[in-house]
Amino acid sequence: MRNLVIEPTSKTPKVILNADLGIFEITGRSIPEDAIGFYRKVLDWIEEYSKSPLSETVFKFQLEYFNTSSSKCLLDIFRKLERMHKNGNKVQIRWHYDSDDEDMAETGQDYQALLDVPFELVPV
Amino acid sequence: MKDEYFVEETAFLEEARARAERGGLPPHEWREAYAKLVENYESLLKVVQVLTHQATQLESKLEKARAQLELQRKALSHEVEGLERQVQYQQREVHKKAQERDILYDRMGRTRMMLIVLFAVLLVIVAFVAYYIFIDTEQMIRFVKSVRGLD
Repeated sequence: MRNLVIEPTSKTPKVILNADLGIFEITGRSIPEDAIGFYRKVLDWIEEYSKSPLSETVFKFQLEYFNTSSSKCLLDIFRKLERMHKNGNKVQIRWHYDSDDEDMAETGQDYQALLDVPFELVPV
Repeated sequence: MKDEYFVEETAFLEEARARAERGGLPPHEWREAYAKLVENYESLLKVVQVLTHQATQLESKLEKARAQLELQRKALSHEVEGLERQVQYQQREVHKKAQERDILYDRMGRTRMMLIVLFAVLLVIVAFVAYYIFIDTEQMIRFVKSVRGLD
């Protein structure tokens, strides 16, 4: 399947979804007005990928700031990864956050509590 | 309003509503459907809790940023007032210095004119003396004698 790379802008994060190299990451800030429009491609890509995933999928998230609608889209991504996990695939989510940013750590904890998938909090 | 963020949840709700309206399900299927509805409701409630928490965090961050901006605006406003006062003071100083310079130029002009007149007078005297010493010496001798009373 084709890899998906989206370069960052002042309002959208960098997205690298490379099944060949096993790199899955979303980094930067996410405050688009049309979050669903931005994340649609990502969600579709994951949906396609989930049909024949790698033996292990480690998804890295390192967001410095995001709006509420992006948060819902992230939850949709997490739900897809959770479904992959429930289907017997090895999936891990790594939530990287600035060690000084308590809010982002708390947000990671919120997601962790909500999901039934390995979810690691990584302070950087 | 069409909500694109809760498409799956809306579709599930529509399905549950349609099933309830149709009716005629055996009791165990009702239980299953009800259990699924409760599961989805629980999941949705957790999502709402997370989103509400995050929205509150964002509002709090925005409020802090707004308060900080207000403080900076006040500090800048204070700085601008100080700078305006300084500019006004400097303008007054420049005006004062310009007046002093004009007065000085005026004095220098008068002094220059006096010096020119003085120099001209001196030149006339020197020319007069030189004339009688070098050109009309006899007249000079007569003049000196008359002054000393030697005639």
